[in-house]
Amino acid sequence: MSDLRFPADGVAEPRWLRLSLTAVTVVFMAVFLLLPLVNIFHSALSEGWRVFLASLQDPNAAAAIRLSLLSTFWAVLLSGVFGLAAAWLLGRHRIPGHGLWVAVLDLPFAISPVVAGLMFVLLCGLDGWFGPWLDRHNTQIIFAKPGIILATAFVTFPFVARELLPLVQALGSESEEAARLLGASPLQTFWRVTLPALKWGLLYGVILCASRAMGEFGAVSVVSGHIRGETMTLPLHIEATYNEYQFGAAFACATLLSLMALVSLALKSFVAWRARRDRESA
Amino acid sequence: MSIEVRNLSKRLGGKTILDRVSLDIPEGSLVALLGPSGSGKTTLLRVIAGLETPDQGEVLVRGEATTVRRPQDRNVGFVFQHYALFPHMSVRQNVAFGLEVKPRAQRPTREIIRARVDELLQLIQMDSYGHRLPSELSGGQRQRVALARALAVEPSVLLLDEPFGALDAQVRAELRQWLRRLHDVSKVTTVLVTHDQEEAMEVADTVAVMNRARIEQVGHPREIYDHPATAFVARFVGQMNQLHQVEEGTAFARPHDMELSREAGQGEAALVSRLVAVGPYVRLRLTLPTGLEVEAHVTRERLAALQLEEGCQVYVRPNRVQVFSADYSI
Repeated sequence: MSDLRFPADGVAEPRWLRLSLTAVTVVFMAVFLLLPLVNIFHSALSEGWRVFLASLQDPNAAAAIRLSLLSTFWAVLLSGVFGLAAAWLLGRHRIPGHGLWVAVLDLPFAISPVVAGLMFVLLCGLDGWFGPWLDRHNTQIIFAKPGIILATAFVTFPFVARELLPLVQALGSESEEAARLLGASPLQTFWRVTLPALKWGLLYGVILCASRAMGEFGAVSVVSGHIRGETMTLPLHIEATYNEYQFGAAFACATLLSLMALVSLALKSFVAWRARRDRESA
Repeated sequence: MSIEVRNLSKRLGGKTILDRVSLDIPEGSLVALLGPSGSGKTTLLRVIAGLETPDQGEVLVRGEATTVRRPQDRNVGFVFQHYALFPHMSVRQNVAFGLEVKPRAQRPTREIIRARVDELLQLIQMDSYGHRLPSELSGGQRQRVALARALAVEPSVLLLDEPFGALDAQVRAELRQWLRRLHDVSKVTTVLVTHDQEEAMEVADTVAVMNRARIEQVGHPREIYDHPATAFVARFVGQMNQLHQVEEGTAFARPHDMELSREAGQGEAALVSRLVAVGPYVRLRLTLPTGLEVEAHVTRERLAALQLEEGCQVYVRPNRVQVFSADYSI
């Protein structure tokens, strides 16, 4: 009978495999993720605290930080509203071409950011489709802040929608129907029933969106025009200072960008943890 | 409030879900819509609630067409099979929701709302659960909260969609007795959707049996049981033995109408293939020489008198036979 006993280690992989997989992962993380990050912090501070702080207070750097925050704000707002609307539409209603629309939602992920930037130039540049019309109305989009905001928003559009779509589908329509039959208006139903159920997913999507927006380089680089102190975001500023051999300044700004990324990573983990806790108690 | 369902039809994706359905629901009655899944009963309930629009026909409440009114203006209490409680709100907040969302002019004061919620929590015997979240309650408790939430707005019609379908047998039995008592006190016109014939028979004044998008029969539970209008109703409500073919169709008889005897000549010879003596009556599975299997229910006393065991020979004859034309399916 002893042959029929369930082996204690029977279903797990052999010990050597587990150990070597762990080793590969740890080495990879250390060499390719942790080490460069430490190096950035180290290089930024290599010329001392004073240089570090001064490079962040440089007017061009400060302007770049402000522009990055501004475009992140708008990108989050736009893709938050768009994401809610798209997730609700695609998750709740069977519209014609449903699968196609879900695929289109991923387009900004699939397309190279540089190409996305070029698309905006083709649309809104002086020689673009809307260019002459915009010019007549004294509106400049390309090589100006609106273009940077649009490009950033485009690249980050799918985050919130992608995060919310499965939640909307899982939520179903019953609690909304219950609210309506209890006398709630559509707006009351949205604020009191739908939104609270989606809040963690929405927040998670917003954080992903914000961290992507802060670091966006490709699309912004095409539409920016690289005007110092005006149309340079933080990533563009880092590249420019680096190309001019101002390594201290470049690494100082890179440190700031990395810190922002780390903060959003921490926030993201917290929100994911809260969302899981809520889901498990539901 | 009385409800009149007139000639409702609905198709969805090429499938007929409701086929010219008409039904009168008198004021203060408790009507059960009984049928197998896919028979259209839930859709009918949802049309009455205003959650679905019919392709044809109308629903009149007190003689007034409701199909034009918005769901929130219909004053309907609806209870879903899976409760549909608001997960982020406490029991109290759930129950108070219908009162809180009223337009300012009609909204009761905070004190009145609090008193009303207290009253309802008492009614569902959950006074001490007010601050719990729905996730901290059992299924039966959740469904009671859902009922209290629906009753809070004093609906003129209470619609229940398989309200006890997700609960286990004992809780179901308790809750349906409770529902019946509640209806006796409140007299709110109530429509209950169920696929459980026992539930429909026990709770409702009137049962409407639905099959394949149509209502097959409407009547008092006893009438439906004793005089089923169609073969479908006969087989769906209570147990039915399908017997031999006759000229007009197929003969059916209830298990308790099967008369058993040990004397030859008192019916057809049969073999007792299975005998279950658990509960108030004894269930016997009989195999006829033709290979036909029928079920017979007898009292324990009768079994003792007959001295039957599995493998015994017995003579069986139906007391009461009903004949339906062969055109049916389950």
